Amino acid sequence: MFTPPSDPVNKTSNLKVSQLCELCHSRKAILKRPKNLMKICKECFYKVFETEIHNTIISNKLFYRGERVAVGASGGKDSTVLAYVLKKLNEEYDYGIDITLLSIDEGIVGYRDDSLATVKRNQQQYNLPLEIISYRELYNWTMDEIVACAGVRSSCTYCGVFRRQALDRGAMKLGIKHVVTGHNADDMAETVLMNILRGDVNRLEKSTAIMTSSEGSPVKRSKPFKYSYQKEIVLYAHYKKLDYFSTECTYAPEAFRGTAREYMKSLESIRPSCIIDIIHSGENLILKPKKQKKITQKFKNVSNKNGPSEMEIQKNGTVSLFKDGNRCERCGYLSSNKICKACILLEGLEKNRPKVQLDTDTSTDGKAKLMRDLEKLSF
Amino acid sequence: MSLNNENLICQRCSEQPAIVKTRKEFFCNECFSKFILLKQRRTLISDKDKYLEPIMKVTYKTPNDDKILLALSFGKSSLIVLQNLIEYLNNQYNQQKKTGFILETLTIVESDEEYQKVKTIIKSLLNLPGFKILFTPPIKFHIVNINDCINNSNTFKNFTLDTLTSKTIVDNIPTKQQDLTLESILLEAFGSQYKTLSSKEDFKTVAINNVIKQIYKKLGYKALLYGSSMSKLATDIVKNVVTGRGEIVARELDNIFYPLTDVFYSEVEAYYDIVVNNNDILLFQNECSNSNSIVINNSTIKDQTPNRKNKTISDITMDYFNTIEGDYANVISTVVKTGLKLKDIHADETSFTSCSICNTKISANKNPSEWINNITVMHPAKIQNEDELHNYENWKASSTNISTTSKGNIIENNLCYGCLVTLNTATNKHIQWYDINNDDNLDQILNDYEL
Repeated sequence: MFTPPSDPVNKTSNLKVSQLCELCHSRKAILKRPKNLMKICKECFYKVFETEIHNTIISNKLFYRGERVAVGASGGKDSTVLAYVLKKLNEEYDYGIDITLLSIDEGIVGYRDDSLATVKRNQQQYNLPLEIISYRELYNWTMDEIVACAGVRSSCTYCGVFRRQALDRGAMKLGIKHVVTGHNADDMAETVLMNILRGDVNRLEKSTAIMTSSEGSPVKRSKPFKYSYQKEIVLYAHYKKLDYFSTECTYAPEAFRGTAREYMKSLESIRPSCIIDIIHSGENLILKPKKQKKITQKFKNVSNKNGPSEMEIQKNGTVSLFKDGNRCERCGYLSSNKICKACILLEGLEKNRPKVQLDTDTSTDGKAKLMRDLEKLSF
Repeated sequence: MSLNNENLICQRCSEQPAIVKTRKEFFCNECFSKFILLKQRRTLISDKDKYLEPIMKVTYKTPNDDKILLALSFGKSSLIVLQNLIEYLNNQYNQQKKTGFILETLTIVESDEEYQKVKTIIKSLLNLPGFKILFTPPIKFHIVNINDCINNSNTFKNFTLDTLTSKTIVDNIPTKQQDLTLESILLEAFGSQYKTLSSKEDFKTVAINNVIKQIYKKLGYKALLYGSSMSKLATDIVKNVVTGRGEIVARELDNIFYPLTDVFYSEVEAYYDIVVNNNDILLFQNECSNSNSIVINNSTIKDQTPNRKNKTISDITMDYFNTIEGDYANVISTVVKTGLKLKDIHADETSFTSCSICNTKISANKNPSEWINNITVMHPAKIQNEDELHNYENWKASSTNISTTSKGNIIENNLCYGCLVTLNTATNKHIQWYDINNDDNLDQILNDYEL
């Protein structure tokens, strides 16, 4: 059962001037905003936090009246605060949007089942409809099985591809064309840094886009928390006593992202504004136009006779058709290639699936389940 | 990491014993020195659509009087570039009795002691085997005291950040203040606390680059060369992104030539220790090194790095590169390659203003203060009870007593995003800065030390 934390006892009278909030100058300052280093009180924090999200929504025209919007809800702090704030702002500013919670059950025993329980409570608390799509239902695999089969190192690759598609499929099942996610400023800054460090120039220009969509997909995605610090989201959830699930995914986070995260934390300790600074830089990074390769006489002749002769062959051997709206030959899902990425990954997994399995086999249970069992042990 | 294997043979010549291991290859003294020199030459000649090739070549129909400026800090990297350029010019002179271009160097110092030290170093430097000049006209060494540049400025301004609007209030300082130094300006603005080290470093770099670029423009050079190694370039690229100055990455890489773009700092250090091997010509002899040694049998223990609080953004970035290179190879070169693929966002712009502190272009339609304001709400929540009202009255009374409101004018778009954010870390949100566009007295302060 969820029990909200108690309020700290703060005296409100006879405060020293230096203790006062730098915005309202009437209440005790309780936090220093990393964005502008201002000391502010709880009430002002609520006001600025919510208004900043509202401003982001309005200035980027994220929604239109009557739009049906799915909140990608994992039960974690970001998506819980997103669902709460979006509902609040929708009522306060009358966006006229219809909000649904959309959760993905990756099948991680001891982790996702707990977080989904939180989402279900959120559904009751915020009175919002909830749809849960599971990997088992879509792909006939759970993440625990995938990790047991393919190892923990590539867990994020599988999970990322499958979740992206699952969110799209879930939204389409509900007839919704807009999914909002709880990606925050820290996530975005991390992505900008990672793209620079890994030299992923194709993603670099788009890494700060607030609205994105998968190739060929009618479902768009947006990030209203683009400029919201993770620290502030956590504080908001804490002060508002929101019910969220705070455990990190038990499968290791993508190793390289982990190093970028650590690096950013060290930077943040000496320059708290660095997250927004990185986003500002990211918005101003553009690529030089690609140099045209010299076309040899031999190639010229071929291309003239047979029309466009160039056809990109992907690493996995499939051919890119360069058309939006194509469908995967296997699953029928929208894909720019003959076979979608999820089907390619599934094909590899199927080859390694155990032929015989015991009814009571628990070997695919992940770390989270093990931890849960260990916690129950007592002398 | 030092290696201990005495029987290794150079993989290039297969004759001499290997003394360095870099890029998974063993090198002897001669092959390693050739490897580094050729890497520099190739970068110089082929970089930026071979811009430097016709400038550096000896021509017979046109005069060979194009001037190239090398920013010489008397660190290991820039000294290696200087040595390479001297050798290049010596070769030209030996073979064709002419040199293809005129080389000049510029050193920025911060005090008279440093100025005298640089003069002494130059004298001794030219007697060293690798730096002997055989050609004419000889290299002109310029030494500039940055404090002279600051003090010779006609106008000083106080830039104060209004935290509520993120706009800057600018006051003209009527009387010229004497004996102002960069150090005193930064100390007054940021204090002496460790946490402001990065902000001071940021504005110091800005001030030094301003002077170099001013002199480069004023004296009509054809190219500006920096001795930054690949590791330093990668650190600078990431540092600029992290401090909100991402837009200058492409401009810095497009407008300046870096002969050591393809050479790691660990290689610079190894080359310096093996080939130059003279610490007396370094301006700062305890040049801090974070890189792992690539010299075989090197048992030198690196100085203990300062703790996290003392570190600047550059230090943290350099540390990150050193730790990550083991697990994820090529991060440093990838960052530099990524930087080189970026386009200057202001390249085609016709309508812009310039930052009064760092001279970066600011687009007319992209006001940094407005960008900050759009994402940062500054409206307070309402006062809800008597206690709060009482507190507010107290604050109001105390704030009228110590009225610090600036009398200056709010000037739109006069500071870039990076400078605004760094100014926000200043103790009282203000800094005194000189007129960076005033180059009237530049000739007077440009102390030529001609050899």
